[in-house]
Amino acid sequence: MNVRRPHHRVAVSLVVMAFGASAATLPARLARAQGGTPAQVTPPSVVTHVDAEYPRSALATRRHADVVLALTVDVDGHVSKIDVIESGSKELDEAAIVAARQWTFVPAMRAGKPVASRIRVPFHFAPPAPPPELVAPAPTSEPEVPPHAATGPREPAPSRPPAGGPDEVEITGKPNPPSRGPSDFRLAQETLAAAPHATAADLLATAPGIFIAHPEGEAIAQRIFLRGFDAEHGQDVEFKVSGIPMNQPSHIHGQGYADLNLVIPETVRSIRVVEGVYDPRQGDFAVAGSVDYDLGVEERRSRVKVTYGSFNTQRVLGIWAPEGQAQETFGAAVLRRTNGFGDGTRGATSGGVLGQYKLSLPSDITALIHIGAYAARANIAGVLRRDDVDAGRVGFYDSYSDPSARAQSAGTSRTQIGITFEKKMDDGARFEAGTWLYFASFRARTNFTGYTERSRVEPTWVGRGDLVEQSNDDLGIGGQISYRSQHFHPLHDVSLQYELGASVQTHNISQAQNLLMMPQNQTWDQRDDADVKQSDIGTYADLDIAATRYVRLRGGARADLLFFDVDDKLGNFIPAFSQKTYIQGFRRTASGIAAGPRATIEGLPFSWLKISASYGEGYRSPQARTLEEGEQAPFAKVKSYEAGMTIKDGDRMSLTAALYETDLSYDLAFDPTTARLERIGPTTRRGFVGYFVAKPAPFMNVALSATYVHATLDSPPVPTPDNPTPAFVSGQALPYVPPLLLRADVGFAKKWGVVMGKELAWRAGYALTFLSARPLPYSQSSPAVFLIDGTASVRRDFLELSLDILNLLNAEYADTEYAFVSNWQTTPIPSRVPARHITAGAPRTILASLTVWL
Amino acid sequence: MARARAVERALIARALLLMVAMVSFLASCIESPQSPVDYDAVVVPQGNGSAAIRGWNVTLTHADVALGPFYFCASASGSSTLCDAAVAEITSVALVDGLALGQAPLGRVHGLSGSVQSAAYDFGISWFDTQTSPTPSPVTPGPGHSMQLEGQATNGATGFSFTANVDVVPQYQGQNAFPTAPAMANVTSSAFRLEVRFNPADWLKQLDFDDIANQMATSGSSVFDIEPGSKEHAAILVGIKNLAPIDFVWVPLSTP
Repeated sequence: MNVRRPHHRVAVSLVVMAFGASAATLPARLARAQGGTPAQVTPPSVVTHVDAEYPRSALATRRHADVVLALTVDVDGHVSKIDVIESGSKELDEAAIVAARQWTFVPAMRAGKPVASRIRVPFHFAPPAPPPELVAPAPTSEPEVPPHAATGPREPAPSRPPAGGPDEVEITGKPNPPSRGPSDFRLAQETLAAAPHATAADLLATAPGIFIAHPEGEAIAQRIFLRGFDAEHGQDVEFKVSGIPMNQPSHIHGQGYADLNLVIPETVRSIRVVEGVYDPRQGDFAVAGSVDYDLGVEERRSRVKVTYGSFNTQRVLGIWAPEGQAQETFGAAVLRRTNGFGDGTRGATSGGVLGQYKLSLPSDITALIHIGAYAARANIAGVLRRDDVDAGRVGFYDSYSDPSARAQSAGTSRTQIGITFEKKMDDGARFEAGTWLYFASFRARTNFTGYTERSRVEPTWVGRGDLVEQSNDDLGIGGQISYRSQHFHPLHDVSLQYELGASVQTHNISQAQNLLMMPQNQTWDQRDDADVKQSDIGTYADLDIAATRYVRLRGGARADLLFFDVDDKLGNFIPAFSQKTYIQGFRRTASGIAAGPRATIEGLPFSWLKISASYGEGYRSPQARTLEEGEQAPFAKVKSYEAGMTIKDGDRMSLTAALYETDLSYDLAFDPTTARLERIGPTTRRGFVGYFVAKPAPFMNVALSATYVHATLDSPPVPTPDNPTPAFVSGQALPYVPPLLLRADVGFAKKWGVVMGKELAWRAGYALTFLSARPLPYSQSSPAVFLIDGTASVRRDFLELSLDILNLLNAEYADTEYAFVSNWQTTPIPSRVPARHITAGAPRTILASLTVWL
Repeated sequence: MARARAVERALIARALLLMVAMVSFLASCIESPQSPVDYDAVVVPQGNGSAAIRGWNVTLTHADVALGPFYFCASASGSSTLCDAAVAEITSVALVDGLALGQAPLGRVHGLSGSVQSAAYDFGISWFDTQTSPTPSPVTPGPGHSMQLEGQATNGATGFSFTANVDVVPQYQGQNAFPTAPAMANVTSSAFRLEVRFNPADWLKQLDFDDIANQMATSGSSVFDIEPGSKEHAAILVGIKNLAPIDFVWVPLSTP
């Protein structure tokens, strides 16, 4: 069929199937119904798709319509035959066919061999809607067709289409959630897989403006820098994994603590990163932005991966991904052990399981069951004074030999389950409801300052080591519910859709902080001991208005009620020298409401150009323990502004550029003396971001980003007893955040041909990361950092050999820097002037892996 | 054509590199209210070693004094509990001649620009957080004392010599011997000199020389030795801490 593309791309409110969902073969269903055990077929997955265009000739009617096509995908992944199963109209059918003919796939696989398949692809046409997003499915998106379990018939795997015709596979999936501006980034699998990533958190480094550090070892959450925010362990970024919130409110180690180690990187299908607060679904901690991990395993074959490499790192990964099941259905388990780099103070042992099962229920309801568990224990090397490193008193990758320094460690665990139900109405509306439960434990012993602390309980106790022990147990339960309406047409050329939603979560938190004395782990001071009950009830409304094909407005509002009940057992502290006239303790309650609008307006003057501007207000909840009785919870309020544009040439190239500003009513910064976050005052970030994604050749994909930020403190820092009148100048730089961050992810994947009867394929890629000099307190700056990570792999049949190299140039760089007072007894007379401290970034790390595909 | 494209690409690459370098440079030049400072500290003994104390003319003939370390704080009180973080410091101990006629080096002041409102310091004997007892610096006179003084006291025809081994010891672990002392300055750059001024003769003002003379008459000795633990030692400490504490003066250096 030879159909010309229309000159005017019109309103493609197409619900492009992202093919992340389940698939089913009709023969398989028949076989299952008859009690047979069919052979399993992995459905084809989309490599490139082209949006259908609303035909000019159909504009007169401006009606919504569905077209369902049956595509035959040959063994090369091309569409060889198209049939119309459900017709929308002649024009719409043709538009759908034109688009579908340009799609390419990874072909369906049976027993590891490509087979032809026949799939159903529904298109939804709506006149005023803009083009769909590029990338893969996301958890908040809208299922067009309920998934079905899928298996293939039991028969020998053909190397070309079987004589009886291709397997019939019904593809279902989710459309991409509507864009919220230029900084609504969707990281596709091919971008994520271009370079090696040690953890799921490290995957985020592919997003513009994000740098990930691991200053506290492998059992404590990553430290994330996002577009001028030092988001610490998650205070400024809302994280969700398959819809389950990962941020832990009022965590003793840092507000919004989010440990992403639970996520096994090989199970991440795509990531949506929204930098800014423009989506009403973004809740607590979405200050710098939000991150949604979409889990799924695209290649439907189980596998075992064994890794060994530098520092005696050993890792065994098993993934169960049965053919014929939805990509969301998988099970994965991982065990890892390493001695860590340096002088033996970074050893770690960890393991986890992660699994999901997607199933179809009666009445076109689909359900996704999620379960995950992770536990880790790791030693922590801690910080080093820069002057000690420079003077050779301690090695860059070493730890202080002091027993209190050597006693640093962390042990954490998290177990979570969740289930989400989705129902698609006949009129196009969608209903979704889900619930989740998690329990997370945390115990860390860290010493940033050496020997500077004095016991509060017994003031004569001093110099016993500032080994801060923190514990935090959090039982969280919650859920969300949402209804997205059908499209309404109140006026000519105007389309309207709304979504109403609510989310709830309640946490029962028990936390404590003590000082420990080595080597017997004796407690020599108590700093905190509290039980916290915290609830968050949020509601939102979201409107999607398309007025003509040129303009689209998305936005709404969100409001959250937060309630805190704090039993502070050490409150109203009675000093040792005071007469005891009451019983120690301070129980209090507080609450507050945070509300704010979010909106994005888009202009589409041309099919290849999208101009948008966004505004949004978000919030971060306060640490419960800081609240007073009856206090209106002092949320940190954020205002985000952004304007930019996206130039897109189909799936070949996309270029995004945006200017942004973020104003935060009060910021938090890490205080090493308390090993937690403390207030520093209001801050502002202004900058620009550029993001370029291209596929210059079928075997190559490129993602480049550049982010600049000017982050400033807007008022004098909070006075302290040490410093009652802190120095301040207008435009004072926020320390530690890299003003300029450049990132490139380049991946190659190609088949080498057939070797000894089996296909040989190779894959390679690299990532370049450049961080400009980071400003430090007191007019100092850290040196710029340039890192290269690379990967290469060869696969033949069921064996794959891969080599990952992190920090290829073996750059010696500081992962993070701090400035504070410490005394590590490395000089006869201790200094009390704040000094630079560092945690070392990992040196060159080489990991070799053997994967056996089952 | 191909060559033109190559040249064009090279130009673009250079432009991009230049842009990155410029932005990196700008990024590292962001405003900051405080900056590191580093300047000399000197001792400036005051007086000539003589003092008139309740009818006695006292003249010091020898005054070896251990000074340091010093911590300068932004808080009004220099108590260690209110000055965990100092603005500047001298992390060394110097043995100085308290009777020198001119300036003598004390050490280098390292720290940050900004306001100083107090000081905490030791006289060579410190009790840091990690020490189980007060510990003298190796450079202390004696060794082991904060200062050694020798002199003569005369009152008409009566006179005697005296020596004093003075230990200025911190009261608590983790505190300085002088947990707080006045010191006012606004140090904006390294173009300063810190002058530490004291008059050791004034430290003897609380001594009861009449009583000492009586004790010497009773004992028949020619030299009166003051040792730690004695009431005379306590009187000297009062002089050091209360009557004639050290003065800290920051002198801006004139630019050439």
